[in-house]
Amino acid sequence: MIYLDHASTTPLDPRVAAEMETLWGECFHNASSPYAAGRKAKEIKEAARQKAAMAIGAHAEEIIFGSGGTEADNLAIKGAAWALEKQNGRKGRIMTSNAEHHAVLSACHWLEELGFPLSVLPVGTDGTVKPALLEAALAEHPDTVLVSLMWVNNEIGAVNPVKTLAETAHRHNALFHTDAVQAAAALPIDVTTTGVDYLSLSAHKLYGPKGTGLLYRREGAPLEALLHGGQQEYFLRGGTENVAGIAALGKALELAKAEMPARQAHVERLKRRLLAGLGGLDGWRINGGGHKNDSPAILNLGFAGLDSAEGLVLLCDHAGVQLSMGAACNSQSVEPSHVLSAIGVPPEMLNSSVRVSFGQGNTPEDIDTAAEVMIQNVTRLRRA
Amino acid sequence: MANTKKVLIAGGLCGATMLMAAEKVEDACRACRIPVHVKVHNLWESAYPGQGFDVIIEMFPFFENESCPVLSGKPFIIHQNEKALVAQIVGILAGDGEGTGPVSPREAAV
Repeated sequence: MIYLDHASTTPLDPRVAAEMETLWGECFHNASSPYAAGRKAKEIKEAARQKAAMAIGAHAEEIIFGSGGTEADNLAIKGAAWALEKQNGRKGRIMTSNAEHHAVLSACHWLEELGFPLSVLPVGTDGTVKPALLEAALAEHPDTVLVSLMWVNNEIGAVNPVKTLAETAHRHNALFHTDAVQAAAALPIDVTTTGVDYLSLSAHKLYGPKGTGLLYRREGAPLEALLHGGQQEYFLRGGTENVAGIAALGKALELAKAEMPARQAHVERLKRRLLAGLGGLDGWRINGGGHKNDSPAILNLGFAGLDSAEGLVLLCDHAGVQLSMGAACNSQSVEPSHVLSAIGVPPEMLNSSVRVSFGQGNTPEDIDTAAEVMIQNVTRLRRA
Repeated sequence: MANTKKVLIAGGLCGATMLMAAEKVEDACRACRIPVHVKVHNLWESAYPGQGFDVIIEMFPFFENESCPVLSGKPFIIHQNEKALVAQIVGILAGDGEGTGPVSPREAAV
């Protein structure tokens, strides 16, 4: 099988798996227990916190471990909104974009139902939020307390200018959160140089295990807990810690930082190879435009002349190539991806687009085979 | 009594749509006194739904070189021309001349 759906999840790096295997057996103890084995578990957890912090340019005490990207996004958005409400005595405005992951969009809309004003900014045809647009929106809405904009779009790989956007938010006294879940796979992450206040990461998108993630919270940035019931994670995330998972996340981030230049170069080569391989086929486009600045790990392709992407993804799967699609039919309507709609993908390609996301285990030969399989099946479906 | 006709509705993630389509085909056949068995099949689970069908409805292009007519189920997804498609299926099952050979899926979808 040729796996080209790394934006969905990545395989576990054997070096990360080895780190976990030792801990599952030996170190099952509760990291809050006072006896030696418990203290050892705590040591391992804190060492992982140090590794994770160093990997993203943070201080250890700025890392809050949790279950993954969705929890980190919810904690950042709801936690900051509630803390600022408590601090300011009023519900402040949240600002986000229409191309965010649903973990962000749904959290924002839920807060809106609770009375928090919400502004959803449109992205451009390249999938990014323009700093001038954010500037104007913030000037128009001085009640904004939090801006949440993703670093890398999970469907099309568009890269937001996070540093500039964070600076823009700060100029208007708003805090800035970024969902960096997809960024961690193929871009260096540095919270100091970007100046973000909150940043979400998930282990399973960077060759770690599922069920572990973190929220970076800049020291002093307001935050209320979502999960109460324990003193863990500085009282910001109650619940007995998943020490093995946390250690794995620390290891995965450490490896990502050390190997990032090579990882970037690898997926960039694969992406270029696939585009070259598809060169002989007509009637397709790169959704989002395929800009130089895009994530090298993600490519979203629209094919003219197909009724839906599902047939293509299924036939490719049967031929041994695993891709992802952005839309599926249901009984009442054919729902296109909200991201593809947001960037203005032509209607005839809204439901016939697939996402290809590359990873460290893919070889150039895999990509040649994938291109061949995609061409064969697009041609077959167009004939139907 | 006539032999029971076999209809296959095959697709993927649109399970609810396929079940609703099956009901519509069964209702139409009942009204025309055509005994029918409609099988709904998820192609993600298996690419081999069996054989011996009198007509196949595919929710996206999948089948090639079948010995029975293959029709596109797109009208059931977009809720346009559903009645015409159901009538076409009944016509094929009734053997009134519309089922003499494979039908282009595109033809049904238009």
